This record gives sequence, C-alpha cells and structure tokens, in this order.
Amino acid sequence: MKRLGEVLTLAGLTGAGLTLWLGFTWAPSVTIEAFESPEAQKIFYWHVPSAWAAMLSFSLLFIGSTMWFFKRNQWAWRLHVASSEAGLATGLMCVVSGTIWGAAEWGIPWDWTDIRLNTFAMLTLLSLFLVLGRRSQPDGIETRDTFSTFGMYGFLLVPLTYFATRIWQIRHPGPVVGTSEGSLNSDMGLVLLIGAISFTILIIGHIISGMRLAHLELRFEDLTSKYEELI
Amino acid sequence: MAVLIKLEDLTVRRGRKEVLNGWNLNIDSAEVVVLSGENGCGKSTVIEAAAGLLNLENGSSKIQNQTIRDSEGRRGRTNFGLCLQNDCVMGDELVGEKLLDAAQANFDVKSLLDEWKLGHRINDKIAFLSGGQRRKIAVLSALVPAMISAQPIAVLLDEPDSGLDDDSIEILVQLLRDLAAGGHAILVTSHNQKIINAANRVISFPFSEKKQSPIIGTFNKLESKKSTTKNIGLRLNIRTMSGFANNGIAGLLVLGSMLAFVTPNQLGSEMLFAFILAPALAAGLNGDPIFKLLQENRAHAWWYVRKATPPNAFAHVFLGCGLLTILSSAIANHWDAIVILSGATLGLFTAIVVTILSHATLRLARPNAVMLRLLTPILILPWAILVSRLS
Amino acid sequence: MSGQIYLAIAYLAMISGLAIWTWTVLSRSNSLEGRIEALEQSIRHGEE
Repeated sequence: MKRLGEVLTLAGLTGAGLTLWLGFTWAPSVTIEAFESPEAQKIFYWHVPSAWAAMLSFSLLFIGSTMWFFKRNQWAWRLHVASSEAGLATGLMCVVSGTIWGAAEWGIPWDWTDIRLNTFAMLTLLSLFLVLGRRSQPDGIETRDTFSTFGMYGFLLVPLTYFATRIWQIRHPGPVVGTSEGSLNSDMGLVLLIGAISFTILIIGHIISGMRLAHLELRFEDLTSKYEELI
Repeated sequence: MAVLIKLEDLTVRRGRKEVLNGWNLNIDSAEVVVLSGENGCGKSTVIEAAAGLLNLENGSSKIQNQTIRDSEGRRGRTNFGLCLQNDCVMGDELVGEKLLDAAQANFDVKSLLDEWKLGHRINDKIAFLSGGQRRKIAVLSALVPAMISAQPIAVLLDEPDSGLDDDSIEILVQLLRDLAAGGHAILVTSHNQKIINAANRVISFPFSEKKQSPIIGTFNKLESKKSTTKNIGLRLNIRTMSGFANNGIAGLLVLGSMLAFVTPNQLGSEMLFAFILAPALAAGLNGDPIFKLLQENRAHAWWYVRKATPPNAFAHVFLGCGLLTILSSAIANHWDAIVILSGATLGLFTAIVVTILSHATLRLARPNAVMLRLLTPILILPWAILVSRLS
Repeated sequence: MSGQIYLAIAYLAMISGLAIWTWTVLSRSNSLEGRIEALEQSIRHGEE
C-alpha cells in the first residue's frame, strides 16, 4: 500500500512511453491536405492525454476542496494538495505542448479570443497559485479554507473548458473522439486510448504519492511541535 | 435584563490550534464583562468570533438578537461598537471624520475629542497621530455608537488600554461605567487592573468567573442627528489620489509604451480597438484603489463588520477608465461612444474581479505573500473578446 | 522551423516536465521519511 503510488506511476510512465513509441512507429501519419504541419501532429499523442489527466486532476481538486471546506476531512485536504500539484504539472504539459503545436500548425502560439485555450490556461494558473500560495503560508484553518475556496470556484472553468469547442469553435479544433463529427482514424484512436489510459494511471499514481507526501509533511510538523515541547 | 451579547457553544480554530471549545457567554444589558488571562489563551479570539470575523467550527454569535455568525455559515450585521487589537483605522481618514463615520450620525465631535485631549487634531489625518493618539481614536470609534444611542448597544473592546496613558485610562473606565448605566453591554479584554475593577463580572481563562460591584456611572447620551454617510471610498480616493497614482498611471504608462512603437492611424481595425481599450484594461488590473488603504492596520476587518461591501472607489474607476479610453480614442482619432463606454465598463469589471480576488485572501496569515496576480491573465479574455466584437 | 523540430521541442518539454515532477515527489518523500525517523528517535530518547 505504501508503494502503490510509485507502482502506478511507474506503470503509467511505461504506458506513456509505449504511447510515444506507437505514435512514432505505428500510428499513421497525416497528410499535408489535412494539416499545415503534418510532422508536428504527433504532439497529439501526449497533448490530449495530458489535457485529460489535467481535467481529472482539477476534478479531484474540486472534490478535495469541497470535502475539506464542508466536512473538515483531513484526507480531503491531502487530496487538494496532491491534485493541485498534479493539475499544475499536467496543465503545464498540455499548455506548453499546445503552444508549440499551435506555433507549428496555426503560425501563432496563442489566441486570446479562444475560450478553451484561455480557460484551460486559467485552470493551470489557478493550480500554480494554489501550489505557490500554500507554500507561502503557515498551515492552518485560514490557509486551508482560503485555498479550498479557490479550488471550489475554479472548478466552474472545467465544464466551460470541456464544452468550449462544442459551442464555439474559434481556434482550437472541436472534438474528434466520441462524436459523430469526429474524423479520427481508428489506429490513431487506439494509440490515443492507450495514451489516455496510461496518463490516467500515471496521474492517479502521482496523486496517491502526493497524498502520502502531504501526510508525511503534516506528520513531520506534528513531530517537530512534539519535540519542541519535550525540549 | 435583555441579553445583548450571546455566544453559544463557540468552537474556534486558529492556525492548527483549537482555541475555543464549546465556549459560552451571555452578557446582559448594563453589564461590563472583562476577559482576562495570559497571552495566547484566546481572549482576542472571543472578541473576533463574537464580531463575526472568524469561521466557527461550531456554535453561534448573536448580538442584539441578530445572528452575526454561526457554524452553518449564516451571517448578519447590526450596529455595535468594535475595537480590535489592531487600530483598524486608515491613515488618510481624518480624526473627526472617523468618529462621525463610526457613529453614522452628526454629533458634537469637537467636545468629545477635547475630553480626550485630541480636539486640536480634529481635522488632522490619523497617520499624523502618535500611536497612543491613534489608539484613542480606535477606542472612541467603538464607543461612539453607544454614546449617541438611547437603545442598548453592544460594544466589543480588545485591549483598549494598550498604548493609552493613565489619564486616558481613567476617562475610559468612567466612560465604560457611564455607558453601562445607559443600558449598553460591554465586553472587554484587558490586563489593566483599573478596567478589571470597573467590571460587573471578570472571567479568567479557561473559565472562572468572579462577580463584582463596581461604581455606578451616569449616562448622558450625546445629542445627534442621523446623517447620510457620503461614500467614504470616493472621499478617500479624492483626498489621496490613490486611483490616479495606481490605476491612472498604469493606464497612461501602457498608452505611452504603445505610442513608442505604434502609429495609431496606421493600425488595422482590430489592432486599433486593442490600442484604444488597452489602457482601460491596465488601469482595471490594479483593482480598487481603496483596497491598499484598507489593509492599513487591518481597517478592512472593522469595515467588514459594519457593511457588506467595504469602502471602494469603483465609481471613480469607471470614470477614470472612461477618461483613459477617451484619451486613447483622441490619440487614435477614432471617436465612438460605444467604444468609450466599453472601455469604462471593461476597466470597472476588471477592477471588481481583481478586488474580489484580493479580498478573498485577506484571511491568510501573510496575504501579501500570495501571488494573486497569477489569476489575473484570465482578464485578458474579456478585453480580447470585446476587441474582436467591436472590430 | 520544420515540424520535426517543433515536435522534438514539445516532447522534450513534456518528458522533462514529467521527469522533474516525478523525481521531486519521490525525493521529497524519501527525504521526509528519513527526517521523520530521526525525529521519532530523538523523541523516544527524550521521553526515556
């Protein structure tokens, strides 16, 4: 149980490596008619799964924040801590890979009028705010309440991000999986599915490790107080 | 005797510590109750919890039959006096003006200040007072609502004697007894023996209670007339020019920077609107100009107890962003009332969002250490959408 | 820049990000475990 997080992380990393290998060696390439930069399209195999993993992290962030705020559940606070870090890491991966792909495909890395790009970036910045903010404050009820409030309200952006390309197609392409308008080749879809499963396992592993880390940090603080009382 | 202050089953945590657990206290009309105990035992926590400034894990605080705060998250407000350990005064408020705002009525401020040896400072800024003089203003701000009221009012004082000289403490003690004679209920935390002697009950932490028979005072209500409080935020903004110094300069700097490289009359439609609206966005990103002033001496906490929306200068932000947009429109030689209104509205909306985010972090131990600006890039989105809609 | 260069940069960034993140979580956990053990020993000695 102690090493479950590490085992899952390793399994996820292996799956992600497999996804990368399949994406380069097995999945079909795209044509110049469909894409401005066919080679850069292969960013897709990690960009999309990292976005999925980020959305999962933000959802877990919401659950942890809400349960801490209303139930004062210690486990929930550790979930808030771990999922904010996971959201930051995967969000950054998605935004960075997306801007590079955007530069290659659209000629510009960013579009300030595209809802999905901006709401997703906002969620990533929210995670950064939570991670850095928590490190700048002493742990306590005021810190936890304040940051879990941000975690709860920030979740409003998640459905907005998800549905953005279904409602407005400004720059970011619309959904290609699970819709009748989707045009994804089945082999590409398979590689993408392996990627999504791998990243899911990876992020769950990371969150479990992160929660264990949060537990260790709290335990260390408690022991330090106990030791100081003793001396 | 009516119960004016009712603290029921209070359980409060601060930081990682549980400071109060199932704590109860009722204070009747005409009673002075002093809380005493060593530092860190929870006296200030009782005052702040009673005033509704702290989240309650359990229990409730009621003042004058109004629920101020409870553990279910319900909140309310009523007129009562409050003096925290921090003075909770903004440096740019004037001495006399502060007391009139606290009273929410017109009364003879000069005579009151004369009794406390501050009459000659009535029109001075509070920032120019010494620490002890500032403390007197903080204490008087808490007492004035009761001094002008025939109806019993609750007063909460956290170490009011801290920083006061002996003469002032004597005046304070007499005033507490006089207010009690007028039916007002007063909860005080103090280590000062004179104040302790003035109490009807002394509660020593964790919970031992001693009843006393202090001297009886005489209540002379101060004559007053209800006044319409002019917007405090706007008044302060005019006095300090904080809006210009923060928001205005930001907008002008952005405009100036763009002019270094951009020739407005050569811009295409979309870039032109972006140019015109950018100064308003920059101005709005500085938030409410009064927010920084409210952080002085924890003034925001005192105002939070009094009003749902703290003093602000959003009306000036709207006007200022409108003026910035007029200026950039003039430079670009493009006149459109819709664009100017959009600039003003964009600046106002941006400022409101930034201010709400800023207020949300005020409970933290170190609110200035939090990188709140990380959350502001989302505000580029409304500007970009507005630009693309207008062009 | 060619598409392949963009591709290489993107994957290098993602791989580095994953690697750094995984490494920091694991190394912080290991370091904390060590410090907790040392502290528990000191407390045991102190109580004796």
